[in-house]
Amino acid sequence: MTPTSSRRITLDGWAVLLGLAAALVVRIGLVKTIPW
Amino acid sequence: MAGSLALPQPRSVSLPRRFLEMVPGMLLLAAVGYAGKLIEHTIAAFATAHHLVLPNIEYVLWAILLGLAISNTVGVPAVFRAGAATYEFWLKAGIVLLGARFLMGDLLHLGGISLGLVFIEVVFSLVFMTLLGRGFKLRPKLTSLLALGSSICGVSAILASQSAIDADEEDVSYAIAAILGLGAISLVAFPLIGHALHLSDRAYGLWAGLAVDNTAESTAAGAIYSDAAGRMAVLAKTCRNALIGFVVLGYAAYWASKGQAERVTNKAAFLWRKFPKFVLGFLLISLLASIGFFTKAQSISLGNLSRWAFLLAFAGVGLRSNLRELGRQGARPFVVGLIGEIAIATITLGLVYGAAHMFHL
Repeated sequence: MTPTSSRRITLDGWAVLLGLAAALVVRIGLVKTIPW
Repeated sequence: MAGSLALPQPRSVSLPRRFLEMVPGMLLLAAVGYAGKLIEHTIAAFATAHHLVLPNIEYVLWAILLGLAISNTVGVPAVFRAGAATYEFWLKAGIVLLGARFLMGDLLHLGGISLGLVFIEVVFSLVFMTLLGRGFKLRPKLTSLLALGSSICGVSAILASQSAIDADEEDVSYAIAAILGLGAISLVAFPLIGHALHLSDRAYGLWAGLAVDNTAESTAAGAIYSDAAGRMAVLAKTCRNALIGFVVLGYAAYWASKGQAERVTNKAAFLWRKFPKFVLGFLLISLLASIGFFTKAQSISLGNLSRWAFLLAFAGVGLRSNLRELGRQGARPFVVGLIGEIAIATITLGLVYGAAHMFHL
């Protein structure tokens, strides 16, 4: 094993952050509705 | 899915610059995905206006076909490549947001059924693919990679295990090509079989989540059938993804015992490193939705946002598939993969039939 420790945010981490940020934006009402 | 395939990030380039380099490709993903959506709407409107009964082909398939047409004719120009590779990021963000459409009660019920079936599927796939690889005299590590790819989550399982079992680059590219090629076939074959067998949305979604390897293709195969099937496919596939660390750890220990890979010293750290973190995001959003953090309208909006993210991801599935490149990788790994996938699809279909009967899916 060659564990490479890195402090960079992973792809998964960015995806979670974006999801949570979007959820917060919708929750506090900055965006009212997102149509499809 | 391929963590390292996406977002190539040389250290010397600043974050804003990297983002700017991705913008053209992200716009291409949006354009291809939205064109798929427009085609679906146009055909539906045409059918309504002319009183025709046409089969409803979901935007998912159109977006993938458009992407395939571009990548296999003119190719994806260099300026778009960095952004087009972000499709996997949009897929994961879409899965996190999809948590808003699952209440914890449903998640525990359907997730429990999925997890039970996933255990059976993983054990069967690992054993069957290993025997098949030996029968076809594939190199042992290539067999391990194919077994991992077909049992857990396609390309990301292969990449996650590459360093853990010290696999050759050549074996990795063979295994990835076979898994991607088989994923492309699944996108057409699964919906056709599902419709022929009149599977319910949930039963079909469960099947797609259990049997289609790559998360992007699995999600797409579900969404081509219906929106509800797409959601179920994501749930079942997420259960499979969650097991990635344990299975890779098992393989790492096996190859280390043969002196052909380094021993894993800190197993807990290894499991955490391999665990797909977007699963935690999905669970967190689902938990928030379940405790009433979002209103119903807000949950619907987040579900729609998830669909927009998937739209970009599906466009990327087509854009990253170069059929000629896949064809160059040799027939034997592909044949082993194909036989394995047919066996896995058949077994999981039987499991799904049983579960649908028992749990009224």
